Amino acid sequence: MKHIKLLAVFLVGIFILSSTLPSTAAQSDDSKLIEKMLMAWFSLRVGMFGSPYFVLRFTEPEAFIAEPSTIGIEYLNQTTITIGAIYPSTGGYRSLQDENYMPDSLMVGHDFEFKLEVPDYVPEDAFIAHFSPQQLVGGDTGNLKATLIITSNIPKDATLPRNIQLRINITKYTTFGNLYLPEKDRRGIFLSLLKGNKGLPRITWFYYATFSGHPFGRLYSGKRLLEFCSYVDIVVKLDRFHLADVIPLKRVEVGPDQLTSIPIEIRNLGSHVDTFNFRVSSSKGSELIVSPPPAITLGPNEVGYTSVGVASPLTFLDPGTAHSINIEAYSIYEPEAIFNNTATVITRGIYISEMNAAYAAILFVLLLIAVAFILFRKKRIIEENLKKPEKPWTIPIEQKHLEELKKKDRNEYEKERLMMEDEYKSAMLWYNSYLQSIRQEKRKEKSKQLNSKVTKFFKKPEKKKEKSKEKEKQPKKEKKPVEKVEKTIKEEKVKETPEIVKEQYKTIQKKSEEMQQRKEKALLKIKHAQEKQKRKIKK
Amino acid sequence: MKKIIKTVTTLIVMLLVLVSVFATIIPTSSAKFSDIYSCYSIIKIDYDTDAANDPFLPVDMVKEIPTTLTYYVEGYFDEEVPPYYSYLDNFIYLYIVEKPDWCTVTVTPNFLKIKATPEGLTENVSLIVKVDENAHALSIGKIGIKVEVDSMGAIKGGTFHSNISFIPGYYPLLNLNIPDGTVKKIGPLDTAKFDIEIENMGNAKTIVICDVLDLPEGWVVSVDQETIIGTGTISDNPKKTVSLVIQPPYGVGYHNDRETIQVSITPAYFNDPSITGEKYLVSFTIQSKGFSTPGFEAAFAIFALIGVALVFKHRKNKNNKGGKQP
Repeated sequence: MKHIKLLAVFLVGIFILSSTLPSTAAQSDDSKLIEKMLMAWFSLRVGMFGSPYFVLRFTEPEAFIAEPSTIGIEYLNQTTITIGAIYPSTGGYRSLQDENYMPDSLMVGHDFEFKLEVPDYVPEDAFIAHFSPQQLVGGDTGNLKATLIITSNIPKDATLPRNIQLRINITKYTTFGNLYLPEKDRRGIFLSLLKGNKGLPRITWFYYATFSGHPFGRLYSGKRLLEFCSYVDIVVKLDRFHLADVIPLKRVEVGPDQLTSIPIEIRNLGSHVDTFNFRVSSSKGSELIVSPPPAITLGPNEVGYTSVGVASPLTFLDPGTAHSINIEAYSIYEPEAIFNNTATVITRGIYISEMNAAYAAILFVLLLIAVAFILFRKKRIIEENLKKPEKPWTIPIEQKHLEELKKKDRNEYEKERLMMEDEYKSAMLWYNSYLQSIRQEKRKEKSKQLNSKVTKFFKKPEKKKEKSKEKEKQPKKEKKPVEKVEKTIKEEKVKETPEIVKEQYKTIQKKSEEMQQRKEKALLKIKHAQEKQKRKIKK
Repeated sequence: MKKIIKTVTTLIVMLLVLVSVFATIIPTSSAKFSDIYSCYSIIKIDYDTDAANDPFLPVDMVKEIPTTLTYYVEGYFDEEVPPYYSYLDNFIYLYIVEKPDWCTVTVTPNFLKIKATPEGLTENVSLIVKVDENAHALSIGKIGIKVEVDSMGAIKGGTFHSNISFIPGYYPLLNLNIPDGTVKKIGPLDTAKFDIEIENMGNAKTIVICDVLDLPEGWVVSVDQETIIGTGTISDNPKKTVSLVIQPPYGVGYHNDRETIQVSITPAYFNDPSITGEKYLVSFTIQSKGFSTPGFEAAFAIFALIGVALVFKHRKNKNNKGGKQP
């Protein structure tokens, strides 16, 4: 009974202690004893299977990295990435013979699988992934790393999104053995303790493995289960590459001195939105003036249209000349990469410069004016020297006379009129024949002058000298009587006073002119009379 | 002897009962008592601000922002408890939870194993950032990082958030369109006008600088040297039309002048014109053909007519005067 009382006191004491201990520990800072008691309690519990401080892990994820973590991909190229688990402390790759991956009686195998996860927005089969090796097994030689080779097989007409992120999934599988019992060397309290294992109450293993809330023996024994799944993200940078297809759309035919445009089609076969500048040059010796198309900005696989400006040469007669124009397109981001093609321009036709035509017209007009002037002048000179005969019936006195005659005697009037007509006709005939004779004389004179010039031109200068000498030697011919008279007058001029001589000279000239006129009139009258006689004889 | 055995047996039984009571009843009934051993995980994230704030070119460049992650524990027994778990690494997971639409961000490695210590241990991670052309130039991009720390016995886990900011650079891109073509035929006294439609496809307000290259002698070209164009990234009007007027030589006489005039168009960042893009080249072919008159020919013709009229009048007067004479 006494023991029962003592036991009751002890139990009550323990209960009081257990309820007051946490507050006591929180309130006192320097209560080392209580802290030590609590830590002793903690140390007892931390290793205790099933306690909240006990850590039981069935999975041990690994930190995987990808090197490089950013890749540049081009069309139809290969990119190699290394994916592996690292030791955080050293940064080196983990060994497959690391203790975590070595098989034992509980976990009889560890293996890793790799898979590339391609986002939905990337076309199917655009990236073909190959892992080497495809599976890693714990305990094998080598490191926990695999090489991923990504082959880009992006369809030509596909437009990839600007930002692509690939994900590599790394899955670790663990194959479990018999989990109902602990490892062979840890079985039994005393045996385990003797082997240096810290006080784990292995006798409860079977209980927990079979009946606990998490009966791992029943759940996992003899199964290959997914232990953990890690992932590594890779940023894909589509490496900018520039490619363009330049196609001249048609062969252009132009005439000389024309402006035209050659349509050009350009397709951006590069990876990004690109801007292309152009350079153009015409074939050597060609006088074409060519201007490059303006800069054009195109998205991937976009087709744009532009044109080359052409000014054809000013060729007078072009039967058809083919000129080639070399068109060079280059990305403004990489001017060294040039994409070129050749366009053909055929020039054909006749070119007459407006300026030349204008000059020719002006010259022609000037020439016409000159000819007209010369003709007019000639006519004037002839009219001045030789007056054209007037129609007698238009002379006012004759007109009056005819009217009177008409009234008096009709027959006489008719006769007179016919005579006048005949007179006029004969006068005109004489006039024309006289004009012809003057022209003939002028022609003769001109021909003589020409002949003398030609003969002078072809004669040797010595002969000329000789001739001149001969001329000098020859006695001077006697001068004509008029010349003699003139000479005597001149001699007399010297002797007489100059005023008297001048007056005499003028009177002589007047008299000679009058004489000449009289002669001409007389001749005309004679001719008229002759013609009248001829007509009468004919009648 | 029997009593002694009974007492010992009773004590052992009581001890077992006490142990079982402590082991089962106390931790579940009193949460505060179990928390006394708890150590709380703390994560601190630092990043290279110089690297993050250095603007980098969208589309072509990928930026790596070095980031350090420090893990330590705090608690009443933070000195005593962690050594019990020194044989284990705690698991730390990193996630990108917030980012602008115009960029791609990854964190590598995205999983860390760090031992729990009160002093703290540091690990390096990298943020890989790639920006597309829709990012507004020199705006601040914010990346939200979430860090989850697993619980490990008495060491409590937790979730931590941090923001990292970075600055995208200026991406100049123009789209040119010349609706009337680049070839024109004019008279020597005319002017050729070309409209150049410019679309700013870049990521910032842009100054478009137009320069005439190798202007032929006698030709005059007039173009707006600087034009400011908005950007679509901030819903501003990204299109504008620039007029180029070309005047050929107009000296008196006949002209048949044909020239190619090249204009370079360069985009520059509005807030800092020293940041420029590549040159865009545009060429125009103009033919000036025809006669160029001095301009006062109409006045000259009028004066000539007046002169002729005066001469005729003078002659008429003279004739009239002559007729009156006896």
